[in-house]
Amino acid sequence: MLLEVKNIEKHYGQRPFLFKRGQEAPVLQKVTFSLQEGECLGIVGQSGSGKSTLGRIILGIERPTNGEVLFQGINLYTATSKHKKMMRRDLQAVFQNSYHSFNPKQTIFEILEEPFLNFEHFNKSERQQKVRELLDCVELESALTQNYPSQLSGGQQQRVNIARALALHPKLIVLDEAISSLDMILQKHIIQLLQTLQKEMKLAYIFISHDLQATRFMSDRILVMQHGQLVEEIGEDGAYQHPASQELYNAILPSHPRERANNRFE
Amino acid sequence: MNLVRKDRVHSKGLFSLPLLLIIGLLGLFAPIVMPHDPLAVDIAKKFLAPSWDYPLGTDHLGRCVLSRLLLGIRYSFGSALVIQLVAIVLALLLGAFVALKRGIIDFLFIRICDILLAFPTLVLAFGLLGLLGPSLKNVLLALIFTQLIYYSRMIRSLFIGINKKEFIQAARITGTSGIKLVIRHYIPNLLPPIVTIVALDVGKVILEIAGFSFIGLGVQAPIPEWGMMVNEGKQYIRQHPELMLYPGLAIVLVVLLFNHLANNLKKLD
Repeated sequence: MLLEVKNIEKHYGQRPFLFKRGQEAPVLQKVTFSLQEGECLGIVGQSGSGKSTLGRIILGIERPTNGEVLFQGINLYTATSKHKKMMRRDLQAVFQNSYHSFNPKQTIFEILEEPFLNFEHFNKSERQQKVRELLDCVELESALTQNYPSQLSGGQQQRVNIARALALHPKLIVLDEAISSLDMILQKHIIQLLQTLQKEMKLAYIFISHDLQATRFMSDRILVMQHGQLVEEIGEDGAYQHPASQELYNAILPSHPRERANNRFE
Repeated sequence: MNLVRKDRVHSKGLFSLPLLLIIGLLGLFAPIVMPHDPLAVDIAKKFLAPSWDYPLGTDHLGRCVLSRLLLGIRYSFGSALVIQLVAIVLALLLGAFVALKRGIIDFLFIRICDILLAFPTLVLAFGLLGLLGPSLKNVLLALIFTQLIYYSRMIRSLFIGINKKEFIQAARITGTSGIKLVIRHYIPNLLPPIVTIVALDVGKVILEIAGFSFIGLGVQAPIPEWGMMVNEGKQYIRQHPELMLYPGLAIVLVVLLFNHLANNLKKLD
């Protein structure tokens, strides 16, 4: 088992401090699921359903209030720093806002060499070679290395993000709305890219999105979230039974005018 | 990674930088450049008018005013730079530490800072100087301390401001942590505002050093600090106002140049 999420709960708000009474609002309630190696798991839900918070907890950026996350059998939050460092190698992420994921003062080369500086002992020319390979992998020209992120288009930026996530050959990538801000053609292109890379590198993905269509295309299984809870798991050919899943399904816009009549919002 | 991207430099706003460099070099090489010994007393030559031998004349003890001004660069301008550099480096260490640790340390730090910042910096420095006794070293210590409180509080806020930025989280996920995170991601993004405020405050610190010397709490008698020179000149303000005017103008010039530099550094980013 690559990843096990057990009974995760998260509350936001003020903790009690000295004389102040705490005020807490639950964001995640009793979330439990697991993920196999090489699998792609979709997580869908409306805005505010807690899916991004879940993603951040899996990544170890945020601590859950209760519950535990086991990555390759090791608890993310109680691991020793050596284990944590190993986990950082195997657990990567791509966020929605591609530009904000870059330090604006770094060039593309500096962004992409950072994982190697942290984990490998490559010299400069080896790093340059690696960065070129990475750019090649996401179909970008290696001439871009001296540019700043602000000089790239949104699609190029997102591909650099993916390249950075791939750098250390991770086992799991959390894609948090990673393609939602791109145009349809680019979305399709990047989905294809992700699928090819998945086959080549035996990657597992957690694909977090509000776009059921793209998620369905990408994922082996889909978890539907509502108000911080997992309400349904949809398998390969599963039906949408829970009202929240049906609502998401009905919200898919028809791709052709003729289909409009038989697929209306209810 | 450049502090200033090449395509963004407006070089015309930076003319104060070479001027300040020249002043700094004059102070550094003062012993070579000075026409006379600035400390040599010769009562027979007191209050001389400007001449080729004494370009700015002599003071009430017959000492060369130009030589004293040149050596004074070290005490006014030089010590202000030292104060700012030491204060900002210490503040970076302290502010970064507190901002990354948070928790109870951060809470205590903020409360203590707020209490100390409730006093105007000058009053705080006054108190410290009264405690330590007047001397150049103690002026440096007192001003470093007051600047340190102010800067570490500011740097803490700047750090916390970008703590939540996505690129910091992305860097953490990439495996960057601790001091590497600070050097690669925090500092380059915070340097422009920090450089600006440090440059702006050099002028303020020069004025404070001069102020302390003027009221006799700072640099002591024979040392030609500019505030000290203004103080010595004030007894002869009716007969020889130029004795106050020269060091006064020197202070104004350097402070203005620093403010101009800071203003243009601000526009760079």
